[in-house]
Amino acid sequence: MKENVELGTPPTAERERSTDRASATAAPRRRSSRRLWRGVAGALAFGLLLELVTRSGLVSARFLPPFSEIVANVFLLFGREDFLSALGVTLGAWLLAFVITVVIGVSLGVALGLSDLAYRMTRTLIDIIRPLPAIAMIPLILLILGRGLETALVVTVLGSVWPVLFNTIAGVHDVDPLAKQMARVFAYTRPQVLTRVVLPSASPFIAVGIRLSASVALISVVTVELIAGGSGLGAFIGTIGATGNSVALVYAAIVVTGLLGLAINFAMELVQNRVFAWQQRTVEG
Amino acid sequence: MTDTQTQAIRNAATEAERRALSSRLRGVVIGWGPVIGLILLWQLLAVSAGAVFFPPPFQIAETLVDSLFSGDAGTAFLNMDMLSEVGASLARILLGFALGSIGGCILGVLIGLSRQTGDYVNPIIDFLRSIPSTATIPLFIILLGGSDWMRVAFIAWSCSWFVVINTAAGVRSIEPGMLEMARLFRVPRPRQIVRIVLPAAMPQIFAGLRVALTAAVLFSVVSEFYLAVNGIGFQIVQSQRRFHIEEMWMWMVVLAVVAWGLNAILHEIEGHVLRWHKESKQR
Amino acid sequence: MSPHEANERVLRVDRTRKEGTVEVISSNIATIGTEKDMALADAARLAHGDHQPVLAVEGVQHRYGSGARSHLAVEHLDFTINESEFVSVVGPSGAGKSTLLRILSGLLVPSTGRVVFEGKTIHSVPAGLAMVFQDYSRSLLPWLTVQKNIGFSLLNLKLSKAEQAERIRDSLASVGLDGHGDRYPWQLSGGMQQRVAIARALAYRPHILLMDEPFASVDAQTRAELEDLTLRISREYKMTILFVTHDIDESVYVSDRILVLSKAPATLVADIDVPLPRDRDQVGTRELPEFVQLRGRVARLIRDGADLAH
Repeated sequence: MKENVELGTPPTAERERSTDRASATAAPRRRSSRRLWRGVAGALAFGLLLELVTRSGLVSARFLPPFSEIVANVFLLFGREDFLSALGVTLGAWLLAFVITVVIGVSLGVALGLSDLAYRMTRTLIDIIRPLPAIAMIPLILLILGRGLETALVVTVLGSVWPVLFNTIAGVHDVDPLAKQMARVFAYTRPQVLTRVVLPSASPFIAVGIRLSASVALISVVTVELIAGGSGLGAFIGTIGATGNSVALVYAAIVVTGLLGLAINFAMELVQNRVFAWQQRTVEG
Repeated sequence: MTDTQTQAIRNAATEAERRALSSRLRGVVIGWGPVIGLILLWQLLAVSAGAVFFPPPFQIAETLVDSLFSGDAGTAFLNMDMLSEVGASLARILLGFALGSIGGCILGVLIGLSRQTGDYVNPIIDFLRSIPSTATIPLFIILLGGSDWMRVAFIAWSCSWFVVINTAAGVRSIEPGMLEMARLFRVPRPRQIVRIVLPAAMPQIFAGLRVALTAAVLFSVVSEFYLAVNGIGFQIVQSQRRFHIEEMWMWMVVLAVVAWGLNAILHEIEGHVLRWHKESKQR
Repeated sequence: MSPHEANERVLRVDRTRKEGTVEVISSNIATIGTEKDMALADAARLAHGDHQPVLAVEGVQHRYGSGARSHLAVEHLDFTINESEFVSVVGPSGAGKSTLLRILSGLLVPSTGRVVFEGKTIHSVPAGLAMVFQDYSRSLLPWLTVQKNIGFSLLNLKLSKAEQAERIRDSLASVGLDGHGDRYPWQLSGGMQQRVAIARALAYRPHILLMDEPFASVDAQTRAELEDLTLRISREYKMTILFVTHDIDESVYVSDRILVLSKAPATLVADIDVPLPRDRDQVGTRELPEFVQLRGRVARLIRDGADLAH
């Protein structure tokens, strides 16, 4: 699935697909717990390294404060009202935009993917629109809609609908025609063909598209907040960055934003595993 | 063969050609029809309904052409100021993209080569690339001031992650048989990487480059929105502040042209470098 | 080596070969025999015109993993390969033939025992050894032309451009692919691709050529051509070849000697000389009564896993 890795694979999926001779004999559970410990070890080592490098003065504290200080600031942030509300605003905006994106993207994608003519008609259109950053329209949308939630929603949906749309179209379009014919032979009605054959078969693609859209959406929301100002994490970081706060605080805020991104990814993966559990099984079978 | 027979063959050949041509033509019409149709629709709506924020595309085009060629005779009537704005953005995009790609490639190779290294390092990478890049702009400003280096560094950081992921994936999926063959011929490890790992992973690396380029354009614009003194993004914001809607759209079109142009160039390069890959897949 | 000596675990060390004279330098000897005995044995061997074997496998055993989850792939292997010999290794599938080849080539260090290549115990891939794999499509580099693929083996040999070009030309000619140098591997048929792999190994001018079921992936007609090609190369270059195959007919047809492996964990079931005339012919040789007998014998050995007695 080229689209998958192209736009940035969610962490674990792609990696688990590659084979490894040495651990081929080890039981899968042992393998993944070993990987978990290695990851933890690596993260701790990284933190330690950062701490040493900054405490020893190798890198000036003005540039990179000690790891421990950043961590302390993270906790500090969670005690601040303004930060927590900013976090809530961003999360809320993201969630709303994401839902709208998925609904529009999947329904439009299914409609376009089903019709061969529509599929061909949209190919060129898609190729043209793909490289254009929706974010470039922020100033325009700001003029039209002002600084509120609507701007964030419009820009985000415009920017993040493409992965879902493209992947859904591709997934629906590439369903094996034989499978559809076979369903017809068994007297499935058209809606049944759609729900029982087309959607399940296209769902891996759709799932990937949704995950990608989720991360793009977060970037879009934060970007709008940063540029437009107001409330939200992006605006918060912009403010504390500009008003001479300690660098550690800015780092901390960014770290939390990263954790948010990680959490969203993780949540996506969980949902995918639950909803598309059948898909995992057939892959392994 | 009789005359009638040769004539029939010739007719069949041209008939086939004609059919091929007409199907190609049909393809073009089907593909571009919607695009042109949408533009015309917009033109019609804008002219009749007179929306302030969505000027007619033809007017935007006119503004663009007028601006572009409003220069002196000495520079072939080209507006050098305008071109220098574009140039400033281009420089940032290209430099950021280059630095980010090279760095990302190196890191990707390191992670992809050894599963062990990957296990230790991947969580850190996953965390770092989960940070919405835009959120780091204020940090880059604190660290590097308002200079162009700040913007270039930001662009490089932001687009490198796409290259890291794709490179690592490409490296991980290399046929182990190739590397084993190199071991048997006692090719030293560094040479193995340059001569086998990189070429073999190149298709996947290019997939990452394509995304990174689009990202570079995007983040360059964002950095110019936030803090800049020149560039396409800067001009868009300037036009917005002065409420010059047409000018704003003009710059957005310029941005689109730049984005398409860069992508087309990358596509050409990819076609050249990966010619072996495309042709071998056809067999 | 007789089974006796193998069990005694003689630790013989470096033997350097200098223009006919052999120097024996021994250090740690944990053996019943004395230095003098060994020197006498070596001298006796030399007197008979026996040179040192190209490859000596001594007490090799290999176990993957450890503890309860371990898997014994090779139980015990002891044999030698002499210069210019064409030796086949046959055995049932899963017998550990691939493990054996990985050990012989230095890619894998055996858990017990050692491999001595041209007098030196190997701990990694030694110089002077080349291998041809079964799956040519996974070892030929698709972004290089045939010529460049062949030249790939020369990368670490520090040859001049002219020498490299000459070797590539010679190898191409030897495998019958002149004129195809500028094509890409994926433009060639399977048999031709395997020829490129063989040419690549030839260009390396190895002292021993290891072949891992090299013709298993091509059709019967091509296989016959490639078998004859390999025979020709072995005669022309006086090449020492170790040829792993599961095809009994093939092993009898091409070799001077056949090593029969048992099923896993692998041991040597038989070490058989092939008394067929040097000139082999696909039709003529395969009709000979000796051929038929020998292939029957090998087939029974593989099926019944009889002991080392013949």
